[in-house]
Amino acid sequence: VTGNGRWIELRLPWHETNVENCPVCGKLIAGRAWEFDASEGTLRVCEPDCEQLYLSYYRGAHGPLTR
Amino acid sequence: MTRTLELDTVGLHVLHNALANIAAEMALVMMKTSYSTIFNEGLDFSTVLLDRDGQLIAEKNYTPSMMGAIPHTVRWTLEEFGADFFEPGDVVVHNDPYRGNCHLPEHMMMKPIFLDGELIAFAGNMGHVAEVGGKAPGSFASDATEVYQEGLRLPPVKLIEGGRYNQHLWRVVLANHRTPRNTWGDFHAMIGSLNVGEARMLELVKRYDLDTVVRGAKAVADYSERRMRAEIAELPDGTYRAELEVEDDGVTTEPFRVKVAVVIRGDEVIVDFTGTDPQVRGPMNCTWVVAVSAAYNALFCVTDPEMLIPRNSGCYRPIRVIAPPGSVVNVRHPGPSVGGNTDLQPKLIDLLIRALSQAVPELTAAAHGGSSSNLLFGGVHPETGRYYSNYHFDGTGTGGTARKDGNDGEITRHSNCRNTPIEVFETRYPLLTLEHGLARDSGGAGRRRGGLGTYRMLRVTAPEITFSALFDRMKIAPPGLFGGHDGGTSELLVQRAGERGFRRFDEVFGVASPTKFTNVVLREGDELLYRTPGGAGFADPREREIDLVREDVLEGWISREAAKRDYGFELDV
Repeated sequence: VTGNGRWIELRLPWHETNVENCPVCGKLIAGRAWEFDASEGTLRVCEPDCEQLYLSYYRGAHGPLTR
Repeated sequence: MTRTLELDTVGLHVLHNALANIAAEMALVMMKTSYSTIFNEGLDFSTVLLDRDGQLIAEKNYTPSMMGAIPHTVRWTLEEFGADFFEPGDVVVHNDPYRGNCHLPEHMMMKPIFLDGELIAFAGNMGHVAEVGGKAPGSFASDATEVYQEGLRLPPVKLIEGGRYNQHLWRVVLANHRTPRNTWGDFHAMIGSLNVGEARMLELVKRYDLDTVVRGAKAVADYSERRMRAEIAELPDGTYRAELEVEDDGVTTEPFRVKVAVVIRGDEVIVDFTGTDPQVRGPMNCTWVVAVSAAYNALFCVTDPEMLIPRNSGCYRPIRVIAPPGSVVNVRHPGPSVGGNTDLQPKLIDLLIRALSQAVPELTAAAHGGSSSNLLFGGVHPETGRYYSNYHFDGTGTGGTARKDGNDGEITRHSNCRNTPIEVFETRYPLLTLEHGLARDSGGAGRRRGGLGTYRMLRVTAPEITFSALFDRMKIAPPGLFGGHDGGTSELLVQRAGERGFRRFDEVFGVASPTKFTNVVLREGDELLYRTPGGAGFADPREREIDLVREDVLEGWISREAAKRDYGFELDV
């Protein structure tokens, strides 16, 4: 992993009904997201494990994500 | 009085059994106290205990399709609202498919468990509520194009607040379900189950002290993870791919495709659905948790079929699932998803097992029927004058494996539910069962043949009923494996009163799909004939022992003609 990741709190108003999905695994991003800096920029995923999944598998299999 | 429990092998076993038995007792409460047949006969629910962080520590998993949802859903609710959201005596309900539920009828309830004012755990359950409103009685709108047609959607909200009914919410829910009496009874069965889970959990922490239970539950989860990783490490590393085609989505007659790559690397697995078709217009889309459930299900079938590994959050950690948002395996708002859970999920399980058959052929199986074969109906019961509605499913054949023939008439493996007995069915609903049995020749031929699907003939005994269906496998049969033959396809036909001959629903009613349609009106004397798909065969049928073929013919499972055609066998009596 990059070692530079951090949790980002999502401050959505209580009446917001839309949800956000992780661009790597597709999981719901609920309440907070995991951001990390990769060579292609700052990426936002659902949790630290997904950063690891992205770096160790996803990027090689499907190419880099862009924000 | 607090007892000492050493957290050694024996102590962890004792603790695990205590936690699992709490979940089992919670399930019994739901079964014994619910109103609807889908709970008390079908057992379409699961019960769980989770730690204060939402990590699963024990489950009674009647319905495997929920195992991908429950470990995530409570945690997401915690993340979305924070632990402060929960107060003693609360019960939170939630059926939002975009926030962690399998489809709209599945309702999750969770109750925080407090000890001396401190949140220590959650009791949870998830069950298929038989009627949640929407455009079709039974809430299976098989031609829905949006979630809004599927029923009432609840984000996480408090049904019980501090031990008191949230009456405003109850009034909204009951006003939007067609059978509010059933909802009232089933919701209370779920709440009663949570109350029992809470009471037993508090007894447990008083018996052994909280720290012991918390540390022990974490140790059991770590043990499960080690066991699961050890099982996965036994599989040969590699990337195993497979594809499937589904015949239609209920709205159009176009097929759609799912692709998967199962990546085994060391002691972990990645299940990658990238390349799968975009979400479809009809309700055959899966939610993310359903795709995850299918992955867990298939991997457990291959790595731990005897269910020896304690089921908790630990055994799920080595499995990662990639399900692209906006695809048929991860529907986005406002896409419908009611049939994705029941009729795409079983095929996803088969798809993964097919992919894994390249790695461990001796541990895999040919496809099972792969359709829950859902019938939905409702109306005013002529004997009671009250509105009724029912969701009914039937068993299909399972696929042959390397070691044995498939099972006959088994409810699809994602749901594991039970059949509703005819006596219960006829007592509650105005449909008479004229015939019901195993469908001869529906099991795909093979060295180990597929199990048989079922058939049933029903007659309407009310002046009219509103009838819907969400079947599949009428056009595309369950595929055989390693030279085994495909399983039998399904059939769903109607004969109008006074007419002779059964015909397809698209011919009679002009609906788009012959197996997925909503709200046709059947009259008294109309008859239904349906046959569920059979399981597919495993390996070349010419390798089947001749004594077994003879027995199949004598028992009536296969015809003489099929025995000669598929197995090269002529019965000599």
